[in-house]
Amino acid sequence: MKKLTKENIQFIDTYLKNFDVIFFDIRIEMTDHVASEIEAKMSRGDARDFYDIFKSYMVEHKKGLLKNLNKFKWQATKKAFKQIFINSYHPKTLFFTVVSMLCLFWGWNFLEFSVGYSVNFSVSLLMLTLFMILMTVLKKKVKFSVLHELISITLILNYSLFHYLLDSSFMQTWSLVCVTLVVWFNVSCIKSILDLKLHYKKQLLI
Amino acid sequence: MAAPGLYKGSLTTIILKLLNENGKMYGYEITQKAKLISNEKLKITEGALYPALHKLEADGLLEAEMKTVDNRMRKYYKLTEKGTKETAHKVSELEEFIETLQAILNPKPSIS
Repeated sequence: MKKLTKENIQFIDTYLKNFDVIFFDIRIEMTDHVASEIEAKMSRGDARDFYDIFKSYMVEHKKGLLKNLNKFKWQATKKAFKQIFINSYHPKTLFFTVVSMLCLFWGWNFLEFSVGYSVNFSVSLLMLTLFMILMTVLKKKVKFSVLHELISITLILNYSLFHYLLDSSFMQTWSLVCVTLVVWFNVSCIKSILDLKLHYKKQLLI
Repeated sequence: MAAPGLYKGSLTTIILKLLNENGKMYGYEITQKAKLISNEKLKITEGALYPALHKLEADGLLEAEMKTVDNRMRKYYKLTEKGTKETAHKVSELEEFIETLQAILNPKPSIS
């Protein structure tokens, strides 16, 4: 069986990246599929060089290969939500939520903030910290589908909470409940992100 | 060759059955095996296969393993315990469906 070189594989990978297959975990499967098909053609006696076979393969199959990118993205989003939900009742999440709230209470008392000021200050600080950490992860060159969607969900929901909830009368009346829910949600997201990073590291041997 | 739409609803069952019989397989291997067994009548496109595989993985019926093969990474799929049980259920569902269709298409004459 004819085998493609590292340069051939890199060529396929770069081609797919240039066609918006930005997620590494999706791209490696597509690269393998395309490479396997080209190798099979070469083994069946196709005498053309790699680039000619690749060109004619992509003319025939590019539409099908790229057609389902949105489906992949939607499945990644669903997996991300599922991960957050499952982790929301994990003992570690509940433990760290309680620890975070106790630290916040201690902080409020130590700094002698009023409840209203404490709530706004804590929530703003939490979101800013989370925002900076998540943007650092998002900016990494290698992107993974479910991790990317999970981080996007965390950022969007935190931004919405920050924008709509912080000054609302609901927040003033139910401040401690709101802060607890925000902390609980974010702890669940952070646990999900860490679990996924570990999963990708283990599965993709990186 | 049957219209591709007729196979659409059975793709999950076909994938589960192939993995049940062959252990660990990667995506391209699944398409080639289906083509071989069906005498080239069933051609699973990559556009149909990979979303189905990812959904089965997300549902916990398959687990994946990465290996470095021939200068690239390859994702192998195999059935989980839940997947093995579900395969038997899906196969019997499809067999029942085929029997029903056969009864409609080739009705046995009734003696009245």
